[in-house]
Parts: sequence; structure tokens; C-alpha cells
Amino acid sequence: MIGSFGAEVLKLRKRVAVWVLGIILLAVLGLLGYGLFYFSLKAPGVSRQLPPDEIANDLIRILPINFVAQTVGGMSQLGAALALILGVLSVGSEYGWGTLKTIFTQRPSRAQTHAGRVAALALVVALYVILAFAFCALCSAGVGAAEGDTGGWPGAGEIAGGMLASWLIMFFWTVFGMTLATWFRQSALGIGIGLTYAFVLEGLIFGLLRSVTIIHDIQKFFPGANATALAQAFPAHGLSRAIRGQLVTPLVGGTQAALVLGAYVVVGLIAGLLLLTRRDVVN
Amino acid sequence: MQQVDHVIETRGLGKRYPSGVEAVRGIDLSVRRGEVYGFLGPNGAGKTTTMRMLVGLIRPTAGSAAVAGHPPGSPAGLARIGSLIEAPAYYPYLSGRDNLRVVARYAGCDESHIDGVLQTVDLLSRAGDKFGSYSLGMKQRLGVAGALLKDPEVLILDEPSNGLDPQGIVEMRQLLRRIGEGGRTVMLSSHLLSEVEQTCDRIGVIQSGRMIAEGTVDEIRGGAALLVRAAPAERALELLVGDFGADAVATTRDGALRVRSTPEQAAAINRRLVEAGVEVSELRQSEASLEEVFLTLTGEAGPS
Repeated sequence: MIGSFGAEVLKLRKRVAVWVLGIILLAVLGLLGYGLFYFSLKAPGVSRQLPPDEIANDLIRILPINFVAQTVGGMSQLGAALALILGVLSVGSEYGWGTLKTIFTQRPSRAQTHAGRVAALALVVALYVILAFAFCALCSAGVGAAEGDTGGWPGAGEIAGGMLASWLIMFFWTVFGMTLATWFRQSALGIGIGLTYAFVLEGLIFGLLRSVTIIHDIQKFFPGANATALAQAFPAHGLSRAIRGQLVTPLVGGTQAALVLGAYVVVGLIAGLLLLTRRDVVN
Repeated sequence: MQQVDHVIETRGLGKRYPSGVEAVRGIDLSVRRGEVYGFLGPNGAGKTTTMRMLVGLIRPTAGSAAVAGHPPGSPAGLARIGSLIEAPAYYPYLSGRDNLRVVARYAGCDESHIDGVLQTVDLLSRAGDKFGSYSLGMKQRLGVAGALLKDPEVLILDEPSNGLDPQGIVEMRQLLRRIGEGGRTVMLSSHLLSEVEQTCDRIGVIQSGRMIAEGTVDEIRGGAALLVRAAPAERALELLVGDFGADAVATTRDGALRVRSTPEQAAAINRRLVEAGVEVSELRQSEASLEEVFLTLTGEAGPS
């Protein structure tokens, strides 16, 4: 497995798509989560359109004390999509290039090859998370400096918990992408169906029908909803009572959400392994 | 009697796909240690499916196989096999050298061997270029380099000369000879019968998923024969079939008769035909080319 891990790391390290996905993640987290958001609050005319209390609370969200909540929130949305694409590409391309036959005729078993790939992707996702947290911390420090903020930083426990939660959310979507690509033996269908599932089924349909009791209950077993719930387990500090009252109540608690996502990761890994080990490689 | 050491052995090996297509039907195949074995057959005969089964990419639905003493696809067996199945498949965004680094890491072999195998296939000077920019011939040579990287006991090469220009084919043939001389066991499939004839110790011929002949090149050619060109050809055929039997006489594509017979019988055959009023314009020793035998065996140009 160590050999497979080393080979996968080499492939991922040299692949432009892996770097591009990471850069997109940082750029969008910084641009949407901080840059444009801050600009929209400070732009001329905003104060006339939004109540001052709301502007103040929105500013609080992007100060250093709340960079964990802001980052985890971004990772559960944008990070999910990028992680899904990473997972799909890592497996789907092997089918496209026909390279599965090359790696399956070396020494390791298919299970060891799969384990090596999973471990390498877990590492890449961890690096994404570390970079995203570092970058968002930097962005929030910039906002804090501009606003003369003295609210301080979140505790080490909250930062570590946020990073772990982000890693779990992104790793779930990566594994989901791997499984889809293995199932369909290609990238295009895996990305198409994965994103449709994430944004249309779990995002749009469930979002619209959330008030329906049965949908509300069913959602508790779906991964996207649990990823959102896990992100909501890191609420922003310092918001006014009125604003806190408007926030959507998390579907489930953070621990339960983490356990459900963990279970989906295990199921996805086993499903991918079964598909890889039982199928003939014919292309 | 000395026991023959078979490095690749199959017994009743078969593959039926879920679609119902039976690509390989009960193949018995034996490749001896240290020999270069040619695997011949027309397109769609089942060569690639058989080779894929030997390296564990496809699971057989019947029979059994052992390669280097292990079941196909087992890590212990794969460690001793180098293979190139159909077109070489590598990562287009990686250089030739980095692709071999990936292979070396999977295979658990020393990356210091990479330059050596690149030198062997004459690709060292282009090792830093991306695989996606390689010509078909260069890709093929990198595929052979990848197969050699493990310094394997057994090489399984599916159409290694595919896509090569004439110069490349000659170089590949020389490379295969060198590899074969090194004591390795090589099993290769090819459409180039002259290549197989010049490179292989023994051959197996497969058609419609069945092994229809296996033996040394001389055995497959069918031994000594005489070529007779006579008129009227029908009368000559009738006389020779009467004397030697239907199995021993075949009509070649240009209308001559090929008689399985020793050169010593040439005079008797000549006398027999002339006395029967048949004019003999050519009578000489004939050695069927592998191509003729292959076409006859596979029914693509059989005896009349």
C-alpha cells in the first residue's frame, strides 16, 4: 500500500487539475467570502439599503473571531463541489486513459491500489483544508485590521474542530466522486450526476420542501444535509440576539452529522472497492 | 524423462462475457521457461482476452491458469510478470520518466533502474518529454520499458510492434531477441508473422477462442514438402491425392500443389505425372511460410 500511496501522491502532485482546484477554492473563499462580501457591505449606498444592525452583524461574520465558522461554511458548499470533482477526476481519468490496466498489472492487489489512492486523496484534501484555513485567517485579519477590530481569534480547539469538520465534509464528497466515477467508468457522467445530486436534489429540492415534515425527517439521513449541519455546528460569535433568532436551526447536532458523514465515507469506500475488485478491466 | 518447466500454463481456460459472447473456449496453452512463445490468431480470435486473463485483468469463467507459479492477478505473480497489453496506457501529463517512476512505485522496484530500461528502448533522450507528446512508436517503446522495469521473469507482450514503422519493427524485433536471449520467458502476440517466425521458439494459433495448433515453428509449418506446378492441375491433384492422401496435398494461392513429401520422392512424382499425361513445369522442394500455414489453419485461404 505504501508503494501505491507514493505513486498516487506523485500523480496528484504533478497534475495541474489538482493545483487548479486548490487555487479556485482559495480564490473563491477569499473573493466571495471576504473580498466581495466586505466590499458589498462597505460600498456606497449599502447603508441606505440594509439596516445598520444587519450590516454590523454581517461584518462580525468576517472578523478574525469568526473565521472558523466562515471557512467551514464555505467548505461545505464550494468545497463540496470541488472535492467531488477531485474525486471523480482521480478515478475517472484512469478509465479515460486506460491506465487502470497499467496499475493493476504491477505488484499490489486492487484493494491495496484503492487504499493507496484513498490515502493520497485524504492527504490532498487535508492540504486543501490547511491552506483554506490559513488563507481565510489572513483575509479575516485584513478585514479586522481595516475595521480596527480587537475581538481576537477563536480558540485552538475551535480551529482544530473546524478543520476536522471541513476535512470530513470534503473527504466525503471526494469519496462520493470516486465512487461515481468508478460506477460509470468515466469522469463526465460522474461530475454531472454528482453536482446535480449535490445542488439540485440536496440543495434545491430539499431546500424548497424543507418545511414538509416528512422531507425534514428524511433529510436527516442524507449526506449533504448532514454536511450542512456539521458546518452549522460552528456558529458565528457575537451576533445580535435578533439575528441569531433568524438563523436556520441545524437539522441535527454536530456529532450526529459527523457520524452520518463518516458512515457514508465507509459505505462509499466499500462500494468503490467492490466495484474495482469484481469488475473486469477491458479497456 | 526430463520434466518440462512451464512458466505459463492454462487448462481449459475460458471466458464468456455477461453479454453471452464466448471470447475464449477451453484453451490449453503451455509456455516453457526461457522460450519466446508467439501467440497468433486473426482479429477477434481471443488473443487479447487470453492475455488479459493471464495478467489478472479479466477473470476467467472456466478453467484455470498459472503464471510464474501463481494464479493470474495475485500480487506474488504480478511481481514476476512484465506486461504490455494492447496499446501502452500511461499518464499524458507526465513525462516518460515520471510515468516509469509511477510504475516503479506501484511495482515496488528501485527507481534507479529507470534510466537503464529507457536506454534499452532508446528513449533516454526523450525521457523528460510528456507522454502525450510521444509518437505511437515512442509510446510503444515506453510500454516495453514499463514492462521491463521489474526485471521480470516473464514478459507478456500483446502486439508490441503495433503502430511501429518498418525501422521501428526491426528495432523491436532485435529488442525482443535480446530480451529472449537473456533467459526470460516471453509470450507475445503479433500480426506480423515474419516477426513471429524470426523471433519465436514455439507458437500457438488461436481461432474463434479455440487453440487450433501449438508447436515449434517447424512443427507448425508441417515439415518437408514438394511444390508441383502441372497442367492440367485437376488431373495432377487427383493423382497426387490418390497416391499421398487428401491430407498431404494442398493447393496454394497461385494454383500450385503442395505435397507433404520428402525430396527423395521428387523423381517418382515426376515420372507418375508424366506417364499419366500431365505436363510438369515446376517441381521443387517447398517450405511453407508461416503465413501460408496460418492462413490455411485459420481458414482464411484453405486448401481446395
